[in-house]
Amino acid sequence: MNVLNFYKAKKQEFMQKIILSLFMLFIFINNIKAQNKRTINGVVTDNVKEPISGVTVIVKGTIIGTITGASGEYLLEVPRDAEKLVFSFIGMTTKEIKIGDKTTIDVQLNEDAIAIDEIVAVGYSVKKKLDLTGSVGVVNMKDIKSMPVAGIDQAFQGRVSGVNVISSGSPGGNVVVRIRGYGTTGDNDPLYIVDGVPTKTGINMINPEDIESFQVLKDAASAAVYGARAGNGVIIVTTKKGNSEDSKISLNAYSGIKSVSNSRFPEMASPTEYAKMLYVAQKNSGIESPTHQQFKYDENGNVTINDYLAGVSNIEANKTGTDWVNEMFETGKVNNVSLDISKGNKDGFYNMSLSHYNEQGVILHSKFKRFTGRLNSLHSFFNNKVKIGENFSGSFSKKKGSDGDIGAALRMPSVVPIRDTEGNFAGPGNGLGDADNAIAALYRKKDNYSQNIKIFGDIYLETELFKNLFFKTNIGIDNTNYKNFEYNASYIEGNNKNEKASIQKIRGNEFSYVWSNTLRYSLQLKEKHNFDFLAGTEFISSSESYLIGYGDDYFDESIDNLYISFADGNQIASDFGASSKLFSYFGKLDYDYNHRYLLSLTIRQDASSRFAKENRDAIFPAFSAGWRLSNEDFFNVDMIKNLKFRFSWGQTGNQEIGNYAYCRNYVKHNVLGTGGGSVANYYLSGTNWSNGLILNKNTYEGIKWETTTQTNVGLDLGLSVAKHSFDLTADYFVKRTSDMLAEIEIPYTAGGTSDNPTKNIGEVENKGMEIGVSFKSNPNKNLRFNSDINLTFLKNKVIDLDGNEYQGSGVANGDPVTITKEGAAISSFYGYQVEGIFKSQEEIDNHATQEGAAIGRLKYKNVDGDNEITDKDRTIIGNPHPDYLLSMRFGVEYKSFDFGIFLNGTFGNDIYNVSLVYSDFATNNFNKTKEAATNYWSSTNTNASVPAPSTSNSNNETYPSSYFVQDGSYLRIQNIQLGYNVPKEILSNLYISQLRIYAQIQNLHTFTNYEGLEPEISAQADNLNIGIDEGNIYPNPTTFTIGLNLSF
Amino acid sequence: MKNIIKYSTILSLLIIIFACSNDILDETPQGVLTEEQILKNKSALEALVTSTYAMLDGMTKKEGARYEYSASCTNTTFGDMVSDDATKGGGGITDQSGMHSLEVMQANASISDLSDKWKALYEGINRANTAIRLISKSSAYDDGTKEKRLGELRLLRGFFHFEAKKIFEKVVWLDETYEDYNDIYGVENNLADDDFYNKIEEDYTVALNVLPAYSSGEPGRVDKGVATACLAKLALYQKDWEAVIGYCDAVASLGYDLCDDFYDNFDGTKQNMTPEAIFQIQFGEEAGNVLSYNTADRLINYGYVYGNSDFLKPSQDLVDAFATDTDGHPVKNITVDATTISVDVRLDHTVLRDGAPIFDVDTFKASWGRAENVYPPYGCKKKIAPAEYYLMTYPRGSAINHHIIRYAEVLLWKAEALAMLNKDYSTITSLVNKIRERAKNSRKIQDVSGTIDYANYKTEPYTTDFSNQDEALEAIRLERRLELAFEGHRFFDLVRWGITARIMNDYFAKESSNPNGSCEYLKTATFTEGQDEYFPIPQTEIDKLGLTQNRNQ
Repeated sequence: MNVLNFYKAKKQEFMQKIILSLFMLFIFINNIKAQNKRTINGVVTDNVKEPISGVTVIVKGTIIGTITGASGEYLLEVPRDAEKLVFSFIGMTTKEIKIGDKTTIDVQLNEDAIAIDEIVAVGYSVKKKLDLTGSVGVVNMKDIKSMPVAGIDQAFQGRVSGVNVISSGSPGGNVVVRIRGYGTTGDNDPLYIVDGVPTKTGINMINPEDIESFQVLKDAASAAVYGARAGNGVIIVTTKKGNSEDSKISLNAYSGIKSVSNSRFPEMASPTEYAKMLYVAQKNSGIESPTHQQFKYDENGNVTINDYLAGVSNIEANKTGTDWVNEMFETGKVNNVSLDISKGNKDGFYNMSLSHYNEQGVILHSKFKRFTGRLNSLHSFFNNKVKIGENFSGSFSKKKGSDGDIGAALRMPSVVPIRDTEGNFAGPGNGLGDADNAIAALYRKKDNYSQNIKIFGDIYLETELFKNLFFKTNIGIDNTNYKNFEYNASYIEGNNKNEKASIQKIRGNEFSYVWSNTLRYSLQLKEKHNFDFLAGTEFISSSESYLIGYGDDYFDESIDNLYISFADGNQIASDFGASSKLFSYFGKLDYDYNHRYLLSLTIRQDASSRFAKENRDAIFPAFSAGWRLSNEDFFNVDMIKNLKFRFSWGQTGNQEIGNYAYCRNYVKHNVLGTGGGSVANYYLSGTNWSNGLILNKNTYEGIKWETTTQTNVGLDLGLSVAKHSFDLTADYFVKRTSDMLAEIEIPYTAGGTSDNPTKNIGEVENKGMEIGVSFKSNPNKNLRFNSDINLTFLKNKVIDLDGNEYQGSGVANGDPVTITKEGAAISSFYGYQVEGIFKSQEEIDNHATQEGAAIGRLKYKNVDGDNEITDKDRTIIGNPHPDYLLSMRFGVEYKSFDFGIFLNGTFGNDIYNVSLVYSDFATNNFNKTKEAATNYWSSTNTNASVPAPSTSNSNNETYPSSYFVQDGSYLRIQNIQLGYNVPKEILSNLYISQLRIYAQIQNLHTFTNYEGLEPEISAQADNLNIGIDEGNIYPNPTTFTIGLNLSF
Repeated sequence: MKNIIKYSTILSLLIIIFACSNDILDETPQGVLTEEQILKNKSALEALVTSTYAMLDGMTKKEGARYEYSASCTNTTFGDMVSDDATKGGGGITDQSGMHSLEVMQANASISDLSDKWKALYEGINRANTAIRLISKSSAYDDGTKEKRLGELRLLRGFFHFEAKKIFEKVVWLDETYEDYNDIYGVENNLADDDFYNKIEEDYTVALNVLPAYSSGEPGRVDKGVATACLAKLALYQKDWEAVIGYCDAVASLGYDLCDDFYDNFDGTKQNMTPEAIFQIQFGEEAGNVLSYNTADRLINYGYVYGNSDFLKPSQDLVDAFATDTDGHPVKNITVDATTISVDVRLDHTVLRDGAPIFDVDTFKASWGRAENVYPPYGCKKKIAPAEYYLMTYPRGSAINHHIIRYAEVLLWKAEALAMLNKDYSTITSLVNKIRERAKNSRKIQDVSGTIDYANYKTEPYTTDFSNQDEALEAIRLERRLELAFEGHRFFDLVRWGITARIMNDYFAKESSNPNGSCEYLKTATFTEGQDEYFPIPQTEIDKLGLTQNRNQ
């Protein structure tokens, strides 16, 4: 009637460790009538003689056991007839020691070369990594400990093959996680399961120090148990339990500075260079004597800069030039303190933690801070027959300021100063474009914030109903209250102005609860046939609501008075609410024969309120099989410790289409704020606006789940020679999303206000290969090497779109630069193919008819062969998806020192660099790069890549073309860390069990040919506009930190 | 015993957990109304009618600030900008390049101005159809308004179809049997002109028969006057001159008349109170709802306080058309380049000239031009308003109603119909003179001092009756131009008269060599007869529905 009895019947040396590692405190020995006892004590250390706490010590063949304390010591009462003690610890080779007459047994455990006993969470249960038949990526939490980033999602970038993480340098900023590519033009975000509770809102609210394990279910067979929501993969996060007999206090803290090297900023033209280019541009456009409001030209084109900006009296021209981009940056700061108190024994455990993370970004006034608190505990009742536990966390986070518009800084001519003669912010004068003063904008938005308070967690009860039949019920909640404040100050900066200040405030709530129930049954036949059954139900109910208020026109714009009720002008409110439910059954069977032949079957049925009744249910099946060749009796290669072949097939779903996409419904319509209003209201009475009702969304009632079918073939290989070990995991997968849910564009004849209908229309394929290699070497007592390499090849292709084509929402001058169509990757770049620059009239004559063709102008490729350059010559000009991802980690430990370096990169992806539209063409008055202003094409400089300056755009050169597509590949020195473990001898007098101090550099350098500020582009608006750099990317800064890990 | 308790507890637990019914998934949608709910709710049905009216201003984009400059039934783009009355204006020819291509008669079927317009009209038609379908089915009305509402909706549906026909020529007829987008596939745009007009006429006639003479208290609603005037205009397009005269007389018998002062039509204090307003798009100043303003025309603004988008720049050709001789009669071939040249006062109510007061807000300066050497040095005054009726902040826009049909136009229709029938020249002359008389008596624009006239104004009625059709038609057509400039009619009038090619090509030649040195870009513009009278049907509709493109586009 306890957990251990069940496992006793199985292969104990393996299973005990699983149970004891995960449910460390399930150990109870109250049933044992130990009449004849003796006491054994000792210390467990690792191979460098460091004590290990948390090691399980068990009397073989019994459930009598304990766990080592902080200094590796243990004390155990054993029956007189006990023969052997078993010592086990995650990541270490289990050791059995004969007791004999000994009363003190000191043990040294060695690191387990092939992590044979590692267990992974696989959804409602756990499994040995050894027995896995699917593809599960496990993040080594030790490697990413104490990274100076706000969220774990940022920290695990590059740590798991097949996963592409794209993050921004913005404090608390957006992180995009894509598992095995983009499967749909709709929602591509993975499902997160934190301690059994699902969330789609991301996980950067979790204190990274709280996380015990982090796993990615990549193939469908692994994820299928989460059915309807698992189409984009599942990430399972388990938070820390207590596993120390004595109260353990750990303190982790780091502090650092952030900066962006100005070598990454594009070099911009000086005022004179800029003016000269404009002169040449006018000349090239046939203007005899060029003029400019800001500059005076003599007959030879020499420039005199007016003392003041044209049209604005009090702004003095900055004749040496303002470095606008550089002025937006300062040195940022980051610090983090995290405190953890835990204790665990046979009756239960607790783990409490508190943390404070504070970051000041490298862009002026951008800040992020977060407080988190957590309590995880477990309690036993009724003689350990019932266990009740909970994992709860609360977090508060606040992001302040704005990410700033670097694009505006790039566009602002350098002759414009930051401030006018009175010290107020300046802006462009006549003939200098209309870019915002980016420094002023940062200042004006410094009090903007978005704030989240999140309560997340679950309460669970577990009991054994019959022998080997376990029942668990789990109730979880995910509650987020958020608050936003956005302030648009009134200002006059040169020619730019905003006459009326306005504010917008949002208060919102997202709440969901989940109730899941599972039955687990284990059976072992003839010692070697192992069966595990799992059956369960899950009910999820989600709701969201928000309230927006808007006020404008303030006579007092001090921050203390920016309340909606103080608005002199409009005071408006609007709100919204919606809800959805999901109910599911699921079952799973795992079978293995002697850990040699492995089989797993999963089935899940989901029913979602997001579909019409007839289409509500869907079934997601999966199976997987494995053959562990190395466990065959005939297999006898000493150095191969593990060789396993895996195959899996399964289906998962996607239902992220909004709540009421299936039924025709009508709404009142109102958009708040500047430029807002209603497209449904009308002045019937002449004086009062009557409310109108409009169709909310065009609907297709037959809409159903999107299904992803995935086949995965894998190989695990573990080699060990002497003190060196080598592990390889390779997977090949084909992931096909069918019935893809996408909004289809309908003819305008059907109207144009309502949202487009969502339909199951397409099929997308992601094919790829993942290779993970890890190497460990331990040549002598003082020296260890370890290293990992992850390599992912990925190919994305739209197979079918039912004849539809999707163009992106368009950038710069409004023309779409991407297309999603059959045969190409999702969101491929689309436009003219530039073949070079026309160098002679002969070249023009020999080319297809191109309106605007002239010497010095871009030459477009005649793709359709009709000898004329038209819209039909637009073609795919780039792919935003990387061909492969590569990451490498090298670690070395010498005596008390450890050193690690981590590199991460993506290769083969293109970026559409929108800034060039402004910086390379004189059809606008925006600033130019030095390159574009001085090294443009001319009859004497025919090798230039920038076309001859011109004020006319008759050749349509700002239209999307390959001119703007650049290679976005990069390799980044993501992390370098040097640590020092203060020797025990020094610490022992101070009640300190461990002290490590370290220094690290994040993002030391990025190798890339990309000309924009930052090749890592996370700020994409949606999945139809991937890889577009609109010039406003918050660059990832270089961060230097020092920190310490301290345990008592 | 202990086991029994245990087993039964477990069993009941399992039953509770695993026997959940699927009904828990039945969600009642929140914050939205389903059709079942609407059918039972009179206010909701009324709101569907309201939203059909809301499409008169062409705004469809739900997200916020507007960019559908060409979609409104003010027809600024398709009636005024492409005609000889105005140039596009703005920051240069690449600013709103779609409009530029329309202006120089080189538009391709993919530009958004075309699809925005088509979309807005068909959105109006679909909204009308939805409301007709649901109101017909509903028994929520118990007070006799049901029939009236159906009449209003039929009128609006007819009107949107008429507008579509006027612009795109080959268009689709949609009635309430088209429930939603699923039913659209398979429609055709090959109805013969007469068949199409007859369908409009049927809608208008149903409305005429059920609508009240006036929608008392609700001037925004269409009434018998609107239905009659719309029928008159329809008959005009069908060249059924007798019918035109009949309907025009019917409008007159409803009590419509000219207001005393030309400017009263655009005076915010007199909105919905003049006897001249028949059919208008209602605009107003709703707190926080910029869409209550005429935001489609928001780029028409000049100078510091009004922003500086500088769109819709009146042509020299239009300005010159206002010139009068010493008798106060129209005179040709005079370049109005000084305020000393005598002009019809309507010029300075319609066009802003250098130094002219913009109401009491500011004084217009030709040098405000964003592209001074590209476009003429004027501004469009009719579309802007005094500060109290104008949204001075982004996105800007006027709160003054736009006239779709006003009584002055009805008078000129009748005159035109009579002239086409070649009869009753004294009536024709008196109809035209009624309008000139009113112009003569309208308030003068005074300079900033407020004491002297800004320009030399002189307008007199014709003293002798027209003697033949050509003379009458020329006078009527000129009067329409002077009276109705920037009210969205000019280009359609030219097409209706069949003189577009001559007028436009003359205009392109003349305007591009005007003494200001602007409008050079019009040199290459050509109007091709038989092709450019109508605008290309949006490529999306050709592609998605297989519609036939009109003419040689």
